[in-house]
Amino acid sequence: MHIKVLFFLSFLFYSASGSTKYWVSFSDKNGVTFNPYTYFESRTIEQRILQHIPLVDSTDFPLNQLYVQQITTLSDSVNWQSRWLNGIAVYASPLQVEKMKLFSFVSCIVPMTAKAVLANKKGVYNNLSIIQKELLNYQTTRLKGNEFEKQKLDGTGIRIAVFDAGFPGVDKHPAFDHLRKNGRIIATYDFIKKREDVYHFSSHGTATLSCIAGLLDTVKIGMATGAEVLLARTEYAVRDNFSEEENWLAAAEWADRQGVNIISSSLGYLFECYFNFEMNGKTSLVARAATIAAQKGILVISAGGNEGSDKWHFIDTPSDADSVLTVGGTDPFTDFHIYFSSYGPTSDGRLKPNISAPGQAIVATESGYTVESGTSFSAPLVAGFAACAWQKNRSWTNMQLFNAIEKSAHLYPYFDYAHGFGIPQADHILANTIQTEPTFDFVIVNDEIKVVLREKFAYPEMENALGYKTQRNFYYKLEDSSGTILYYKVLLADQKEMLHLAASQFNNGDVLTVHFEGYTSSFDLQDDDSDIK
Amino acid sequence: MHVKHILIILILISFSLGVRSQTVLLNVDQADEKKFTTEEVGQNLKRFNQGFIRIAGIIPPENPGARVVYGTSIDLAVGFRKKYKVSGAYSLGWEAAIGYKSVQIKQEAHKQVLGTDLSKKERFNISTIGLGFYNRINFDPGRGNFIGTYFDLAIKGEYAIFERVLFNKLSDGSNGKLILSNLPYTRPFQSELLARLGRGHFALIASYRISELFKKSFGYPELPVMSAGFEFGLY
Repeated sequence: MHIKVLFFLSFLFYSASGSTKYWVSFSDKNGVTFNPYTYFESRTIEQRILQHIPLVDSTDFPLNQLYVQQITTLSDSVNWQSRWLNGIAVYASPLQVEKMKLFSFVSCIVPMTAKAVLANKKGVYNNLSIIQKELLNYQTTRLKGNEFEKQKLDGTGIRIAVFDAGFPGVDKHPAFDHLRKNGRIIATYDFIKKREDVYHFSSHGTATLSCIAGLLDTVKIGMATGAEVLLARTEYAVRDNFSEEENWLAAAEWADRQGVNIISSSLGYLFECYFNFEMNGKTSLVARAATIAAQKGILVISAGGNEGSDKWHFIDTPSDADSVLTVGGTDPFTDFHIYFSSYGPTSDGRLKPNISAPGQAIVATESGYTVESGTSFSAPLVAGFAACAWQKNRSWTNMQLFNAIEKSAHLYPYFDYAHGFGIPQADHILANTIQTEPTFDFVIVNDEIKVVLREKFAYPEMENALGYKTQRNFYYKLEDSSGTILYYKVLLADQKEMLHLAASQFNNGDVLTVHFEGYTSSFDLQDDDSDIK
Repeated sequence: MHVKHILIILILISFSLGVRSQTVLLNVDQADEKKFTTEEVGQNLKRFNQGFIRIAGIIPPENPGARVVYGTSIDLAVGFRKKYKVSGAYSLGWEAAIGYKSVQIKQEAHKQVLGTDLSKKERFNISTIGLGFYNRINFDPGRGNFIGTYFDLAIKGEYAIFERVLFNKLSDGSNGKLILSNLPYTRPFQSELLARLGRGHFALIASYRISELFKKSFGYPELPVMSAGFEFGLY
């Protein structure tokens, strides 16, 4: 009797998970034709010509509809098709999948069981105080956004697609009046509901959009107030929902078709969907989609994730993809890594995050403004920055812009896996050169290596952009002879002699790199010909 | 040692701290991070460890003469489980737990278990340590790194580390509590089968005791052998 009950319950559970979502990849696109001039908007064609990217490649061709038809017949339902990855997402039973595998045109079928998280931490404030207004100012001036303003750079002519979980209020909130009045919300699409209306569900997208192009009265929340935007709802708001990775892919193709220059994504897929060793930028569907988007000339900017204080504290995907500009978060009050910002590198050892930006910001909500925390807001702040930088340098390719943003960052050429190259600086982009004077010296006394701040820079604290006395940060790292970082630290620069290291404790070829106040220098440890580089 | 000497030492220590100490704001040692690429411990990786709490109630059927009060007769356990993944659909594992069963025996005319004397309340408690082995079938073999939906069949052995019987208001009508321990009629080793149907942190469980609780020579009818409830995974 009781055994029967157990089997019945077992059956119920099995039935509940009986129809699973699968990604079905096709082997070819035989017999398919494609005309880019009728499919793409003229902007897409212009972008490809400008960036010397082939106007058409096989990823642009549509799927073989005969293949699609046969798979559709065998499936419970079909979600999206992808030209880029030559496949479709279907709901099917294991039996149906076995039948699909028999088709010669099916190259592989993989189950999709991803979960997504929104890369933000809930804010605790409701009303803007004086300090919060200072924060509003800080979130753009820390990137020297005022330098863009001086040159009237506001992202005009740049088209940005925002992928998020909903945009309630964007159709009536005063923060976006300028976008609506000038017809700069170019297109919207809800890839979950399959309709154009995106002004519902999670206000996470409203907040991230404001960090790109929002205004609070006349003060910029994000730098690209002159940009055009496309809004794509690709995710549910609730963390535990099974997500639709293929929606991200479909939205990217949709954005590419409409000549988007920048994709800003604050969605992360992490340990619930992939194993740690799969965070290599090549495994997840979204990482592969983001890589193709970059190949099409789009600058993809993605939030690094908010798992920094968790056991699994690594960069999410698609931020693990090589050509995605991954943004970590900094604390506005200390100016270094904010505790929740995820750490790099990728599982295959590549530098991530690439750069950082404030991880706490004033954002628009559905009906007002608030303070929110998360790399969700670091990424769109950089998207606004990138739009202004690209407006200034329209001849750059997306990857030239990518590199220029990295080089403009305040720690460059220093980097570590918490900050990347640091916070991008508009004045560095505009000047195209960075002048720095030495701020410290390596001093060798017998077996000891000291790092001593120069007199001019040896003072304990300074005033930050929020008007508060704050510490200055001293960064250093140790790399082995192959360039692998062994450890990295940030110290409070509260004394003149910052480091005392015994040379004997290091291996031949180890390199100590220090960054302080815009100046970076390295020292080869245990090398007979050691010298300051 | 003079106070003066202590002060000098303290001053020297504070001086050296003042000169040498660093205020470390962030310190990341990449050696600790290497397991990111090598670690195989995870919910759906080769090995997975988790704690668990089990809360179950004793359920029918019951023997005449050994009827119990349901709802207050409970079967609790706290333990640790290790899972070894064989394939996406099949895993093996073991678990160790500390258990506590408390059975309230119905006080009625035909009661035979633990004697025929009647009290206001009579409760048989047993604390155990146990070790079990289980097979797991996962219904979503292609899942990501999460537990998914599963069905376990386990066999476990338990050793009684403490047993006692509590009587409230004694058979002679006097108020009071009598506690008997080191019971001569219980068997120290028990074994049971356990089935578990779970998804993520939660599981429904049902267990069936396959060994006898009391020594035959005492002639007591057996207490109910089944319990059902749920488990919560701690990870």
